Amino acid sequence: MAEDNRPPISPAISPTISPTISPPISMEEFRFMAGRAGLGMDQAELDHLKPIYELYLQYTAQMHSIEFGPEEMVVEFHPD
Amino acid sequence: MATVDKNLHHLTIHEAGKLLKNGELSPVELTQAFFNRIADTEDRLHSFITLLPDQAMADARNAEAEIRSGRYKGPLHGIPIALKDLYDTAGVRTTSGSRVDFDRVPTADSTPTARLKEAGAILLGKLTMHEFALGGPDWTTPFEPARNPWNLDHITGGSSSGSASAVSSGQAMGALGSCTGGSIRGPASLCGIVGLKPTYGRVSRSGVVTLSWSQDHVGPMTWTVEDSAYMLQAIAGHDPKDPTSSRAPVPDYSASLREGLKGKIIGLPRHYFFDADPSVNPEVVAVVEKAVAELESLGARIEEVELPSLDYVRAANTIIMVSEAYAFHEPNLKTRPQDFGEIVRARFRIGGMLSAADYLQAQRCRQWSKREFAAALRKVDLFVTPTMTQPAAAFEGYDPIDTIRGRSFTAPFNVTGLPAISVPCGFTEAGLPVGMQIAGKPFDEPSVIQAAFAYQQHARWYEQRPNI
Repeated sequence: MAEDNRPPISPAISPTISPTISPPISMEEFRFMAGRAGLGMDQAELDHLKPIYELYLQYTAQMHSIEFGPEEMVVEFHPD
Repeated sequence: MATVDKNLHHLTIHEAGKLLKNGELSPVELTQAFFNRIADTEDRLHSFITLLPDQAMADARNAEAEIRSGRYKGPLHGIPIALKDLYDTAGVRTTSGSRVDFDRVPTADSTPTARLKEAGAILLGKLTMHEFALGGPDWTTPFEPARNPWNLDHITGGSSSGSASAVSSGQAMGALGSCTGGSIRGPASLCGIVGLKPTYGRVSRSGVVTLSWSQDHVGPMTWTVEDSAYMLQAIAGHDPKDPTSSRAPVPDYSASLREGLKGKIIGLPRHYFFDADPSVNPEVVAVVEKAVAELESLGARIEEVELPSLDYVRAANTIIMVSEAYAFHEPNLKTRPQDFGEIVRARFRIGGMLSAADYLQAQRCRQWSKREFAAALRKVDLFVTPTMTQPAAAFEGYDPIDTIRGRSFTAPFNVTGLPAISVPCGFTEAGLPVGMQIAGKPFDEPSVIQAAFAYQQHARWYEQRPNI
C-alpha cells in the first residue's frame, strides 16, 4: 500500500528485537559513557544499569539499520 | 462479576447527566456517593494519592445551586471526576507519583484541569500513577501501586494506573490519563474501560508534567464511549499556552455518535498485530479477532493493510521518549537521583547516554511511519487492532523492565499522533478484560468514537462490572 514511500532497510537486520543483534559493550566503555553524561554513578549503579542499557542498544541498532538516504528530517516551525 | 445495578457509583456520565439536568439527582448526593464508594474500596485499590472531600463537596453544593437556578453548563456539570497526579491543580499537591515532586503545590491549574472545572466537573482527587508516567509498578516510589479491580492480584497497567482502577471500580465517573506510549489505552484495556488518546495537538498539554514533549497526549478514561466523548468535548481546543496546540475546529463529538459503521473501511495490519509473535498472547488476539468479525457484521468492510514501519516504531517511540525525558529531568537526575524510583531513574539515565544521532534517526523513522500511515489512511477510514499484547499480569513475578521488550500495540499511534481509542471487547478465560483499539485520521476523532460506540452498543460489555 505505502511501498512507494518506503525507505530501503538493511536486509541484515531483523525487524524484531532479539538478543542476537545486541551489540556488546564493555563495562569500561559503559563507565566512560555514563561519566561523559555526568551521571555520577557508583559501580553498583553501573552494574544495575548496564543490562538495561543493552536492551536500549538493540533499539538504537534497529534505528541505525534503516537507510533513509538524503531525505531531510522535517522540522516544523510555527512563527506565531 | 456483577451486572450493572443502579447504585449511583455505577451510573455513567450520560445517565447521571440527564438526572442532574432534570433535578432528579443532586450533585451533592452524587459526589457523596462516590466518596462513600472510595471509602469502601480504596484500602484494596490504592487508586488515589490525594482526596479532596472538602473542596469537592463545596463544588458540588455550588453546582447544585447553579443547576437549580437554571445555569446548567452541560453534560459534565456536577459529575465527579478525578485526575492523574501530573495535572497541575492550583493549591493542590501534584506529585507525578514521585518523591521528587512529593511536596510540589502548583499555583495554577493545567489547561485540562481548568477546562473540566469550567464545564462544571467535580474534582474528587488526584490519582495514583507510575512515576513521571513511565514504567512501573515501582515499589521504590512513595506511593502504593494501584490494583486491578477485576483481580486485585493483578496490575492495572500504566502509567495512568489509578485513573483505570478508579473508573473501573466506580470510584470516579471519569478520569484524565496521559499517554506517551500507551498510558491511556493500555490501562483502560487491562481494566475493562474506555480510553481515548486524541490526535496530537487536539488537547493542550499546558500544566501537564512532561515525559516526552513530542509524544505526550492528554485524554479521557471512562466507563463508556459516549462518556469519553463528553470529556473530550470539554478539554479539546486551541490553547496559546501550548506551542503544539492545534487551531483545528472542534466538532461536536456526541452529535454523530450514532452514525454507525456502514460503509466504513477498516484497515487490519495483521502482520504486526495479529500474527504469532513470542511477545503476544494468542488468547488476546483471538478475543479481538472475534470483535473484528462483529465490526464486519455491523457494516464495516475489513481490509488487510501492510505497514512495514510498524516493526521499527516501538524503538523510535522508546528512544524519543527517554531522550526527551532526560532533557526535562536532567537537573534533578544529577542533583537528587536518590529521589527517583529505581525504574524511572534507570530509564531516564539511559536517555542521557543516547546520542544525538540515535534521537535524530528515531525522528526520521517517525517521519517514515507518519507518511506510511497517512498513505494507508487514503484507502481506509480506520485501523483496528488489539490494544495490548497481553492481559493484565499478576504482581507476583512481574518485572516492569520486561515491558521494554517485544511489541507495543499502542506506541505506533503516539509516534504518528493519530487518534486512537480502546474499547472493551471481552475477557480471557481467567476473567481479565481485553480491549480493542480503533485508530483514525488526524483530528477525525468523530469516526473513531462512532466506530467504538457502534461496537459498544452491539457487544454491551459495559453491562459487566468488576465485583469489588
